[in-house]
Amino acid sequence: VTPSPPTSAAEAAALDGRILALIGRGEGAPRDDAAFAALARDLFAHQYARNAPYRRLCEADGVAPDPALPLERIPACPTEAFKRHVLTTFPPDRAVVGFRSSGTTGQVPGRHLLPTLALYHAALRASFDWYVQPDGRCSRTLVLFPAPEAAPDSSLGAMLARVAPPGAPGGAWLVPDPVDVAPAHAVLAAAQAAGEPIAVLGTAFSFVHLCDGLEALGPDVRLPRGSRVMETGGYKGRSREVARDQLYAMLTRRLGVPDAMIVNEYGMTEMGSQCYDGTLRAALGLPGRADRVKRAPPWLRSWVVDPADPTREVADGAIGILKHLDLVNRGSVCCLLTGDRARRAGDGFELLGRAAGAELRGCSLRLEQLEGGPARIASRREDGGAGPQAPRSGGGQRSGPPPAGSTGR
Amino acid sequence: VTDPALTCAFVPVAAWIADRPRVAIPGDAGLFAPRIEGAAVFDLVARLTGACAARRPTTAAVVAALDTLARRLADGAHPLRRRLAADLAAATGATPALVDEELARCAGQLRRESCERLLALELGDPAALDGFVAVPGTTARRCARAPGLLAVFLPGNVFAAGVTALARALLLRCPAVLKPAAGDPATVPALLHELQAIDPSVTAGVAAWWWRGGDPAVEEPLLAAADVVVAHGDDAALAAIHARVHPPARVVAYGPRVSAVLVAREALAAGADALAAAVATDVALYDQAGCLSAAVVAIEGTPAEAEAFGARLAAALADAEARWPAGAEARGRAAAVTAARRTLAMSEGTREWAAPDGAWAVVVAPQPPDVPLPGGRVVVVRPFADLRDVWTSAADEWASQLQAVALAASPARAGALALDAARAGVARICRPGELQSPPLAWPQDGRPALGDLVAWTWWDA
Repeated sequence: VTPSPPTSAAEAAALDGRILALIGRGEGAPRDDAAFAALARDLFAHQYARNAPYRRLCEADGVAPDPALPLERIPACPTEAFKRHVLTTFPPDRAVVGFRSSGTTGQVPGRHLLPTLALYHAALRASFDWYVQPDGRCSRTLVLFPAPEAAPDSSLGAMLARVAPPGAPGGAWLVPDPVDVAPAHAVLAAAQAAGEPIAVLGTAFSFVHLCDGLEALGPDVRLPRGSRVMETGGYKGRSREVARDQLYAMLTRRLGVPDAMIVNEYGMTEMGSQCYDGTLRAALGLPGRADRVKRAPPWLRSWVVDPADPTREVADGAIGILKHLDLVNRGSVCCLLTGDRARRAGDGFELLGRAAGAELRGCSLRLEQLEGGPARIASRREDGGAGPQAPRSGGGQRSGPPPAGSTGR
Repeated sequence: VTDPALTCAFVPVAAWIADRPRVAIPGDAGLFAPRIEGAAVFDLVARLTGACAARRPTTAAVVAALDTLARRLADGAHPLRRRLAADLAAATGATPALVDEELARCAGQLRRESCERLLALELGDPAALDGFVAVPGTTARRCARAPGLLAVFLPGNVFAAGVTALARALLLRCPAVLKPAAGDPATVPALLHELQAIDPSVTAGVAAWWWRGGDPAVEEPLLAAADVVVAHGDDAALAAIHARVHPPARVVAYGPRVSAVLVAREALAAGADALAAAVATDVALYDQAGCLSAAVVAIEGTPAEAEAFGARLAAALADAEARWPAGAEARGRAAAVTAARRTLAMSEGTREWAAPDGAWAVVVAPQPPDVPLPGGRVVVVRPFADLRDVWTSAADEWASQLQAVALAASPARAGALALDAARAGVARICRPGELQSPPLAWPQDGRPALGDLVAWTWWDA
């Protein structure tokens, strides 16, 4: 008797179990390339069979599931495709959440539908705890982002709500008003007065607002030792733009948080996993390298590839665009081609910003060019809360060029 | 011109800018421009205006000078052509072979007959710019007022747009300031230097130099003095210009567009290979960055016939790439092009051919393309049962953004198909292979080339 093939649900549950087990070993677990590859190939086969638009892409590439398939050859789905296709391995009406990247005027927002939050929650918690609070949770948190109910389809909002639940003791969620940061100042001053370290989490532009407002308010805050900042994303016209090192210098000056205790997070709506700087761990004397090279967690592989041929990794030190193979994306597409420029740096990558966008057609100037920029602008980011990748929605940001080294959704 | 500060500037009195401070132009070419700002802008405008009033060139002189310039540009061995090709390639990242072909085609716009045709079509008697002339068929007379100062913000992605704008400004024989974009800061100044050497009277009222766009020290006095401002740009760029120009001054704005090729069933049967070669030319020139660049090919036929043409077009694009390699600018957009191609490939029934290095791609799409057309020599081939369906398919948004159409159809059908295109807002119709060789008189965005810039006085004499 030939056994009947597993149902989609059974197959998905089995995959989820294996992925959760891998995540459960932790961010710091040794990389097991063989196990990862086996799981990635099974996941690819699952998505090839059950995600019709993605299968068409695979067929165009002439690639089908194969136990010997090199991971580099798994077809990479452009994140742009989330705006144009429903990319799920399950009936879309069974999605428990649809994270949305907002779009600039005339653009279609992208939607990343998830059949479960279990993988997302497990992965984000593991990485956040490893890189942002490896010494245990700060007793106080300040989140500079709209409350989850105000941005229910924001993946960044969902992530922040998971790591710093609204209403939890010692926590505060605020959207810094560009001209009135008094509420945020009160939260920070209270932490200073109590001598209790605080974790401040938010988008880059929210930190610019905060620093600008604090400067106008008076004496700088000196946050207690152990306080930290996690910033993500760019500016999108929501504030003046500040180079990353300048932003960190401002944060150090205004909040008293040392540079090493400020970490950048890289993530995007279309990807369930995140990457972080390792500086904070090093500052705390924990294992890890004290640089700002992003390294993928064990359930993610990231490559810097040739933009014209995403199967070809660039040489170490060379610049390309980022391709990810993210096991957390079990319900959509695990292999993603981004528009994020990066430099390959050993076993990690340095973010450089967004790749040049599709050319505006027809003997025209873009506003950036009209205002004096070179013909080839460095980036053309989409709308949203954050950085070079299709940003998570919820911040209501407008378009603008990204800073190098920011993250985004 | 050996002074690097002058390569990106032309002011009729060279000594006037010789001791100006210099500013670096953004980009990798290491170019500089003089800094002319504040009161100096007013001073310059006064000089241009005074020069036009004191010794305004004749139309015949302008036409003759442009014709001489055209002959030099058309001559592949002429030093001007060779220098421009090298400079443009360096500044824009386009390959020299491609730029050389574009220059040769562009030269035709400046020929005597092209200039005279434009003047005759839009002004009737060009003497209307100098005084009242008879209006044929009436007892009335009329005269045209050229702008007191014409300001032109040029695009940086297609140098021919600057050449066209320069020729139109010269034919109006009015004071004019042209602002080159950082991406192509030297072409228009170089042409002006050449024209000055041909006939200095022709260029006495014209200046061109790069400045940082939006710089109030330059643009406040300039826009206060200009009464017609011409700008090429996207919505945001044009809105920024509009916000700084106050009535009675006017903005003549050109927005982003694309072009397409329409192939009727009988034309496909008559010679698909030649047609594919012509379409490849329309795609490859200017690395598909211009509003006259073909981005979509509408094939009247079945999906299989479209696919067969797609294969021929792929071969033709490979040939075009060998002849006119894509430039660094186009290749720099490889990430966006790859993303668009791969997104298109996820729609049902698509078929793609692409260069191994991503220099070009053909995507046959039975469904309307649902991504922004990316440029970078990526062309979408769409089958239609009837070419008239192009204009009724709401999902084919590109059809509402067309600047021009290259039409391949039998003489019996061409008239009706052209009328459909015209009614849909297409500004120019030509044969495949000729999209990038427009006449000087072509109505960009559907508007008259000179008529938009002049004002008329009608005298019922």
